[in-house]
Amino acid sequence: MANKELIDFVKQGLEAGQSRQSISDALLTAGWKLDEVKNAIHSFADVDFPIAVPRPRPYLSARVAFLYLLFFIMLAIVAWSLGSLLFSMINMAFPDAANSNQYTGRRVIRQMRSGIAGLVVASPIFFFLARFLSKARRKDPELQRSQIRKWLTYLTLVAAGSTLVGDAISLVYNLLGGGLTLRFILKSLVVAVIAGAIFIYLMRDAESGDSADSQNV
Amino acid sequence: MSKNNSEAFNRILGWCVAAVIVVAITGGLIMSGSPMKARDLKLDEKRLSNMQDTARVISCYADKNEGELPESLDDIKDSIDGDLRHDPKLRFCQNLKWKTDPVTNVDFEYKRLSSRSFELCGVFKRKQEHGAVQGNSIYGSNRNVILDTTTLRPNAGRHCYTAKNWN
Repeated sequence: MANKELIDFVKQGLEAGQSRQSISDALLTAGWKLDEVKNAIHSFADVDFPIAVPRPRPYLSARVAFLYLLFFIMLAIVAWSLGSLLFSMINMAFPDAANSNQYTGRRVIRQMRSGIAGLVVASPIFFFLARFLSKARRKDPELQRSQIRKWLTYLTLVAAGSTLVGDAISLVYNLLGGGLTLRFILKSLVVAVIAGAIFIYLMRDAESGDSADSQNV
Repeated sequence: MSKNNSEAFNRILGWCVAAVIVVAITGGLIMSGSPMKARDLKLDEKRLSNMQDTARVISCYADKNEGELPESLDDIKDSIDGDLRHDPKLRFCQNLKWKTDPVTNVDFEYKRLSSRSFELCGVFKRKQEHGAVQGNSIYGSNRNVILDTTTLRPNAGRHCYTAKNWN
């Protein structure tokens, strides 16, 4: 579905007696993308009638919302499972003498298994969706302008950014308390790499997305 | 930032993430052990918990039998269903069940050491890696724990646990 604002404009333009060409030119000058403008104009039938005659048009936003929501949920599951798996591997490789009992070994293995399970199931779906959505976005400028995508992107950026800051704070806290063991440093590194990768990817994505919103003419 | 540049970056990032995930899964599988091993360990745990239950039955028999442990298991098995379970004096002995090996269904090996101590042996699939979960500790009670399981089984195969001075 084309942007509502755009469609309203085209409708008013047509009803005011403007030609399709002049409406299109005006919109392109304003920075809208050619595909979008074509879509918007195409949503009205080219018949001789006093007011603009709409064509039936598909509503895609629910489908887009579904795909993006699924994508971000998979991203969360993959990031969480990977972190949890790496944490449990670190715990097993560097056991903490000050903090272990008969249950720790079992718990570590259980955590490892659930991490593996999460990754095995969620990461193929995640990679498939990432590929599918990035292809779809290149083809369809409306997907590029999708509000849902932008909101989810920025919300995830907030989460990843806060995680990074929290990670840094806990590093300093442990440093002050004398708890800066190799085990702890490795765990902080895991958090920093995962949250950092998500942050950088989405930040680049958001910046290039925002700049691609309008067509430079 | 050009579009091609950003696509190339995303592709490289994607491959890196995929590589990290594959390495992490492989490492995790190696460290946590194969599903077959996990199955064996689970059965060994069940085996040990069955041994504890059976040991409790034996101790109950002794409590009822004026503190004397039986010479062989045959002496006990007849009395479990009858008077042992329903004796109001032996409150902790109610709802007890005679348990056998979870796989082979064979009785555990019993050996009387003295009038107040005995040994129960079973054949285990793997060496023990983690300490035993003590009895039904969910209820905060260790009253089912008769056998001494403080030391880990060092290797697979037959292993005997001793019980003495229970209450």
